[in-house]
Amino acid sequence: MRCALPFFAIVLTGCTGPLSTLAPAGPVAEKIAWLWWGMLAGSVLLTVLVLVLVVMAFGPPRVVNPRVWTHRLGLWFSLMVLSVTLGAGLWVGERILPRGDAVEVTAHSWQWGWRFGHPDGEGGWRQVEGELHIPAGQTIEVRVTSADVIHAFWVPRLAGKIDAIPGRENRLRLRADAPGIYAGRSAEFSGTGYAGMTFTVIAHDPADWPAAIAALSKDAPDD
Amino acid sequence: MKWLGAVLIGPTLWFAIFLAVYGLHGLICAQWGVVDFSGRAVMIVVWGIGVALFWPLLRYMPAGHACSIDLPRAGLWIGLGATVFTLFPVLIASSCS
Repeated sequence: MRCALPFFAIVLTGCTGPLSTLAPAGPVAEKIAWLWWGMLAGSVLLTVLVLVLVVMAFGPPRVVNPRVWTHRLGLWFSLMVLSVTLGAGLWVGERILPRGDAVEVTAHSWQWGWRFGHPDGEGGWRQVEGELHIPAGQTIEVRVTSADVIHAFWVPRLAGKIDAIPGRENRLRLRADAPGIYAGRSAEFSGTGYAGMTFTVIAHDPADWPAAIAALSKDAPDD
Repeated sequence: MKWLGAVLIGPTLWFAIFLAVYGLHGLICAQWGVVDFSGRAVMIVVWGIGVALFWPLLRYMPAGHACSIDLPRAGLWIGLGATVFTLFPVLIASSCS
């Protein structure tokens, strides 16, 4: 037990930090974190069942009731855990789909970088590399594209991840509850420069967002 | 060989229904970009036909207590369970992407 405590302390340090799914800063990320904890609970229950069976396999032969161990625990209990986690996954999945009004931005990827487009309110777009500027407290729809190979847009504290696929536009919803700086990166290995394929999401106070966008460059069209 | 075929008939039927329903989902999404009511209805009908095919097989497959007799029936139940469980999400989820 004395050895286990430092081990769990080290493991749990991974639950926070700028790239942690378990430190959500918006409603979409909160739902995903909730699902993650639910799946962890389900996998713990199934692991405990398997470990009990492993322990029971050692030692002298014993008489067990097959109706309890095979039918109730082996079949129905496992199916119940899987059904609950499947249902939770469907419930969360339906609620993070891109539906309804949102502020649209673009995220264009290539080997190895990101360029983000922001609406300037005059029908044009303001572009910047490596930074996505959003208003806090508003739902954002990110239109994700790629110029070359498959990348993946991922801001763990604000949303799930979605692939950037050449020749296709994928859409992802995210939202930051409060102004701040949130780390993002590609979640799809894409070659030697992959490690540097990071970006930052800057959530502004909604009143300051138009000025922040106006300060960005107007040129640099997407590839 | 005949016995082996009987054992595999349940999983094989699941495999075929899985291909048909997921293939339909891909076709509908590629063609219309969204699974609307009629698209979902077609998928559910194909899935329902597949599930119904298990009924005569379960009814006429010999039953018994010996392992060699029971395995084909177990295979059918596994195929039926897998058909219901693994295809349920694609039938109710509204996402194409």
